[in-house]
Amino acid sequence: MKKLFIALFVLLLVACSQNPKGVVEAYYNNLDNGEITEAYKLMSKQLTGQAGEQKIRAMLQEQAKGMQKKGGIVSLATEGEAKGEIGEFTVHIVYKDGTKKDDKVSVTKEADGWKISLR
Amino acid sequence: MNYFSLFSPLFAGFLLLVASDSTPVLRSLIPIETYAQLKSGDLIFRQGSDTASAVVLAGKTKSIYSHVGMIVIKNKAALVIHAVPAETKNEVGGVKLESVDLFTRSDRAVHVAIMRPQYNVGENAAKKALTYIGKPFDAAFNLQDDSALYCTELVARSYLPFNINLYKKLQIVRLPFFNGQFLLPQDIFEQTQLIKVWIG
Repeated sequence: MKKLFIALFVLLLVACSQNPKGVVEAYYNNLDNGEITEAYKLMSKQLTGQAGEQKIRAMLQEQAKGMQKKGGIVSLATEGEAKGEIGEFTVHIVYKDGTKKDDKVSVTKEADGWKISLR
Repeated sequence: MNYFSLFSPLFAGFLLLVASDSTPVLRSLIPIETYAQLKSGDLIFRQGSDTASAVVLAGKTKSIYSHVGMIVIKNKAALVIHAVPAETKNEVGGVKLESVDLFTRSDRAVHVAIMRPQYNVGENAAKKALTYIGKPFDAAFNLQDDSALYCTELVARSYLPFNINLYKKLQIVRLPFFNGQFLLPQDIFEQTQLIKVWIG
């Protein structure tokens, strides 16, 4: 049974990284849960290669802290699409403290799946 | 025939081999003769060992520098002033001064470049950079104020009062709580106003 859950989890991760919208949502959910390492895995190699792991992790921690200050995410809706190897999405977020925010997020397709990128 | 006397030199040799293999020598990537060429205000770039694999995976073939600091010559010693996040939970990140040896040590860097901005104002820029010692690391990557600084922001701010503009190429980043402009080390490195001192 445990093996089945692990297999399903891995399948979910793979499916997620192959779907640009899923990557954007997973990124927000990871930050909301304070899962910095998981969020880091979704960052573009081009970005992590240019800024360095330490700096990107510090940035992700700052983002997670920002979400915590607002009480965490209540709801998240994503719209937009990917064309070729680039995708542009708008993420509509409602936080527990009542604030609403629309974020623009870009993704790019790399060898190991879709990743959060610079614009 | 004493087997111990026959095999003990071989055994000692084996131990020596194992010991030398398990303790890698950490050394600076800069040749010793290059130290004499360093001047205060020189920009020192490194490609971190943590980013090398990411660069390869991103399909890049050339070095991409992921961190930058500034050389400060103090009492004939070559030091680097730079802004870094905390490396461990017990450490405080921020603007700090460390030796060139440590900055370019082989466990921290896979490639290093030293570049000199034109117009011979490096001494002044280094003095300006030293006024930022102790400022916290800017995890919000906000270029608008100097209450906290990240690596490129430190060197660009230190040169700006002396008419050297290192902010020429900014990346637009759109991420939660981080919608703004980001100055990357590689974008400073590629500026034509920098003269090569040493690249390796």
